[in-house]
Amino acid sequence: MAEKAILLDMEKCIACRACQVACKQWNELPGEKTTFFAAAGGYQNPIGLSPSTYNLIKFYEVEEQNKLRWLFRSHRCMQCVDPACVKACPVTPVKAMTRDENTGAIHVNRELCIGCGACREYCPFTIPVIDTQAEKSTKCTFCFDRLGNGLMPACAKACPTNCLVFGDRDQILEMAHQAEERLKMKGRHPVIYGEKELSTGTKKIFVLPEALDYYPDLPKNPKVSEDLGLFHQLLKPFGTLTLTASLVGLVLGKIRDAKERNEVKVGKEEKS
Amino acid sequence: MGARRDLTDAPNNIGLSPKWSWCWPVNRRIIYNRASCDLQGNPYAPQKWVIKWNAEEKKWTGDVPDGAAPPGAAYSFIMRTEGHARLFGFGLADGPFPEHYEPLESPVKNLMSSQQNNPTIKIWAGEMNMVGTPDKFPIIATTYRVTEHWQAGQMTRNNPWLVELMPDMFVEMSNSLAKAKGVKNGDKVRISTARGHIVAYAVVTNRFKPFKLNGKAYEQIGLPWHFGFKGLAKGDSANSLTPHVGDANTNIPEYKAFLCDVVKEVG
Repeated sequence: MAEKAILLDMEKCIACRACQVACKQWNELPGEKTTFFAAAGGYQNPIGLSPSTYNLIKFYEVEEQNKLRWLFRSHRCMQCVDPACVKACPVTPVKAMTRDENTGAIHVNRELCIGCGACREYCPFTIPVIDTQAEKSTKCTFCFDRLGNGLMPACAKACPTNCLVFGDRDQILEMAHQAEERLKMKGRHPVIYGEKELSTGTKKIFVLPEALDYYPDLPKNPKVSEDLGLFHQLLKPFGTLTLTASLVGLVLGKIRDAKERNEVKVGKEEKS
Repeated sequence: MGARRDLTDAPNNIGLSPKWSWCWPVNRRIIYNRASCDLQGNPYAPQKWVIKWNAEEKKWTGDVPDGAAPPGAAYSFIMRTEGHARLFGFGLADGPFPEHYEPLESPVKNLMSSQQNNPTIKIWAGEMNMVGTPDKFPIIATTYRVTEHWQAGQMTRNNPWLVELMPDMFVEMSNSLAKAKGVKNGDKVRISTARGHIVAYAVVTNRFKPFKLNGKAYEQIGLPWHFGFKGLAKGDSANSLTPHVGDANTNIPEYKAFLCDVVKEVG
């Protein structure tokens, strides 16, 4: 399968949030209990990504020189071409944060995941959310279970305005540049985000109608933490021995955590 | 059935696609289509013609003709005795010519005419339909809908995924009104009209600005419809506020413009 990508032509987004609902429907994620405009302000709900929200439309209301802009952005896993989360995942021999060979989708194998949070720690966009109850990392799966069956991701399928377009990455990049031209003609200041970021780019290709300053939560120059490389260089000569040792350490840590939790539980039961 | 669909266009190439699906009646796409031609059967707009008379074959081409009479033999509006379109139909209270009237509840005098309201509107009488005045209710209110909910919300306000997105009844207002009323984003606010009052969460936004009408600034608030007292997501209904006014011809209610007052809800 050629490398796939999703175009996010955000000028075409009307913030209907059909993608947000379609994501929950396909992934069988429950609706969250929310209150209106609690912390996020504006129409955005829920407040952030969570174990039951992999895709979130963010709203940006900007006014300058009496000109009002209401900008929207889909916030979720960028599906890096060279994903730091997969490198960071300590689970061996098969990684829990894994790149699906057939579709190229980066997703969490829930059976293997130990919920350690290394993927979130090293994610240049801080996307994966750890479900502390289930002890699993959660994020957008790029719908690998749809792609593998010849279907497009649920979000792209649901999008009514062609803001989200699924296709081969080279074609999607071409479309992104066409969209950039279209926006320039309209006097906007488009930014293509995801083509060259992190040098190899991502598989979510944003075309943002205005400069990155308008999207303060999107890193201007995303970087993979340097200690990830260091970690790997150091590990190389020691090979699996070190990995095994660190894994043993992690497992021991987990057992200790679990014990502590049990003790707390017992303590609670006694009280009640 | 889907496989039978054919996007091939009619000879006029204006996107009629007569083989895509059948269109009642006789697969005609455009009603009274002969009205697009002069009395010789030549289209008024040759570059985007709907239908035209083929003199050699003595028949119409393009869309299926509405009444197959040759050019000049019958007028186009075949469902009318006289064969012509009507600007002013029978039995309608309001005429076809443009005129501006203020809503029943308005903070200003009609600047366009000495007649303040449309004299032919239907106003339901009674205690449930009191009319407010700008001295008591100085703020303009309007109602609208959100994408996430449908009608009164029986289906959508019981769907957890949609309730997550739009969980509560809210009222949108400008920064200047919020400041004047001491309201912050997310505060509970009481909105009252001559007919009733409701409570909703305040959304203070730059998308709302005071209007300048006849030199004076007037504030406006916006309320979604959809909410009610039952379901997964509950909230007060904007219907408690709106006036019962029907437009002159069809009785479509005047829910888009009325007067209210706003105070911060205590407790």
